[in-house]
Amino acid sequence: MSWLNLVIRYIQYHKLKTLILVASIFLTAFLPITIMILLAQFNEKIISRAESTPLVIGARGSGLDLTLHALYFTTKRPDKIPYSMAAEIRETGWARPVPIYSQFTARGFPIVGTSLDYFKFRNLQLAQGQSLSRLGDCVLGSQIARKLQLGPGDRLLSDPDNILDLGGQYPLKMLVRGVLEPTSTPDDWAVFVDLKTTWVIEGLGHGHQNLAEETDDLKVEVRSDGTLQATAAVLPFMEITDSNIDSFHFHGETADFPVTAVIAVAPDEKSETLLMGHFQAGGDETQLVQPVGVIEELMSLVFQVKKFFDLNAILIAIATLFLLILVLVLSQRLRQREMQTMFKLGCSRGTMLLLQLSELAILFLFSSLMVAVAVWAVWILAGDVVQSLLIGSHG
Amino acid sequence: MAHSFSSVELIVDLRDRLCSGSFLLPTVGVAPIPYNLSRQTFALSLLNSEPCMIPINLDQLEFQYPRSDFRLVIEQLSINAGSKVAIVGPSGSGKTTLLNLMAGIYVPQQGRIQIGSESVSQMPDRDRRNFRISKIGMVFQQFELVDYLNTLENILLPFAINQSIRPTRQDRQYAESLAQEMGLGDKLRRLPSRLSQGEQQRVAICRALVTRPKLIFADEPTGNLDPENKTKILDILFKVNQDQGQTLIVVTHDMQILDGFERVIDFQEFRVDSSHSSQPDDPLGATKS
Repeated sequence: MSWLNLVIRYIQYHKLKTLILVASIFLTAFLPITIMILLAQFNEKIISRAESTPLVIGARGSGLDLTLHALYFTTKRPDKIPYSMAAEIRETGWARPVPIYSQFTARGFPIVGTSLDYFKFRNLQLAQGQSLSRLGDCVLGSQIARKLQLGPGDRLLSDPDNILDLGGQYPLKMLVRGVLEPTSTPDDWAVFVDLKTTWVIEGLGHGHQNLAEETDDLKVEVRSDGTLQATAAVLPFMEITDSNIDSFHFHGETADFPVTAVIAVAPDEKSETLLMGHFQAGGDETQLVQPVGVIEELMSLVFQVKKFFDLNAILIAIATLFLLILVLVLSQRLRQREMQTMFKLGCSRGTMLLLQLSELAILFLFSSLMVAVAVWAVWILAGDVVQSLLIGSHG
Repeated sequence: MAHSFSSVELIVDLRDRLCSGSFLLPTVGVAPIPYNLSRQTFALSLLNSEPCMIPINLDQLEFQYPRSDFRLVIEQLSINAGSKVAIVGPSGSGKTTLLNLMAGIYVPQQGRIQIGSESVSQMPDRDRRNFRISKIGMVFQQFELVDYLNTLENILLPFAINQSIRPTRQDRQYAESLAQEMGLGDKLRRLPSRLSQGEQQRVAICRALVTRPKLIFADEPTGNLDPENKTKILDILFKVNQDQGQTLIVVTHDMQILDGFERVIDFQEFRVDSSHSSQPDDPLGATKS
């Protein structure tokens, strides 16, 4: 038996005390480190996404809501702007517009209506199947495909906006055309469709049986000018197939149809500046935001709050230290007799100090090991945690 | 009865007689060479043999606790090697102080404590500690077992707390055999809380003996025991003294246990100057060692 055995025996015998001390040290160190890691990853992810998205145009209102919606397809949707805005950007020649219309969900995940340019812009690659090729097709983000166990050829039904609104939009059964490679971005958690498909889901476009062949008066009304008008008794097709695709049509001008944001991909800074000037001089209906600026402003606020948290963590650490000292002093008093006996038997004061310091060292070693394991786990999981924080409660 | 001795038997016999005190010699150098042993063989055997008995001499000893009026003065005290000595006196008279002085726990302000050939009072701290742990076995009134160590670990404690002595396999076996002898063989893994008071004191005695000390200092070893256990513990201590020849010094204020001792030192024969006639509450805390 050596002095180390003595220390180990003491720790084993005083399990509860040891456990409480280890837990106190662990929590004191773990919580601030975890917050630091999560915040660092949050900052890194959100900034990198913002940096890869130069400009976003959307309805006037909260710039933060618009940015988060364009970047993360958040459920807090900004007001809609007309699709013509994309055309307006294209006409300036300063940027390539990438429209986004994310208004609906499929099994809880956001349906993102966009153009094929989005895939090029985000450099999204297909892992399986093909890209969008027809109205009603969808391409799934990797995580959704994994979670819903869907692949090319499967069908995915959009969620009805309001099941009691019989006259409103009907859910659309979409054909899964492909699955994207994982990117560890919000794109892994989105259902991508063509912009027109989202308009179909919204009810702006639909397909139904040929009214000219319909003889049922309940389904067809003849207007005074002789044109035919479908009644609510005519049910739209809920799935777009080869046989019914020709019946799909839109009512109204697509230029007036809604989008929630348009990402403007400018080739250079000059074009970006010109585009910003154009929109600042524009009407009151729209705004142009630079996601990096918005996100940096948000993060500076977050870091301000973190300072208070850091202060709190320091105070907790000091309190824990005092608690630790108190416990050790009390423990020292309780062990006074034991130490006196050891001294009388021939133990040096140095060895007695060594015994107590070793006990302390083992406590710190245990706590540090636990912190290391926990921090490692947090490090591994942080990406997903941050992602779920940013994306919200989808899925 | 005629008996022929081999050389080895003669050395063992001589050593045993030396240890038991039945064959006292002023110095080894003038000892007559017994029987047919050559001078060289005899000298070598004595060199290889561990001397079992150490006499104690105190000379012009003065000790005073810091910040206390208590003052112990002993002009001369000699204790024969291998003897059984009881030190008696009223509470607070300085019996334990004397024991602690002889053990090198306290250092006298004046005078000399000679144990065998070693002057304990002149030793540096480290040597005094090493001397204490290797030559002296200490038994206390409150047993002073470590509550988180089991019987065997408590017995081996002196090895654990002194890095200069490493327990060998033989030491561990010796510890187990001591426990066995003391009737603790089936309780080696038990914590002190699961032992009776008598058993606890027996563990404490095993701990005192495990380093094979030459002296046993026991401070009120029976003070906390019932009459039956008192007798048992004293029997054990006397048997150890008889079998192994260690000098046994027992401090007690219990006059009923003095029968078996060869010598009783009454503390009233020493001068204890004190206005309060008692020692400080925590003398050890104020002690330098």
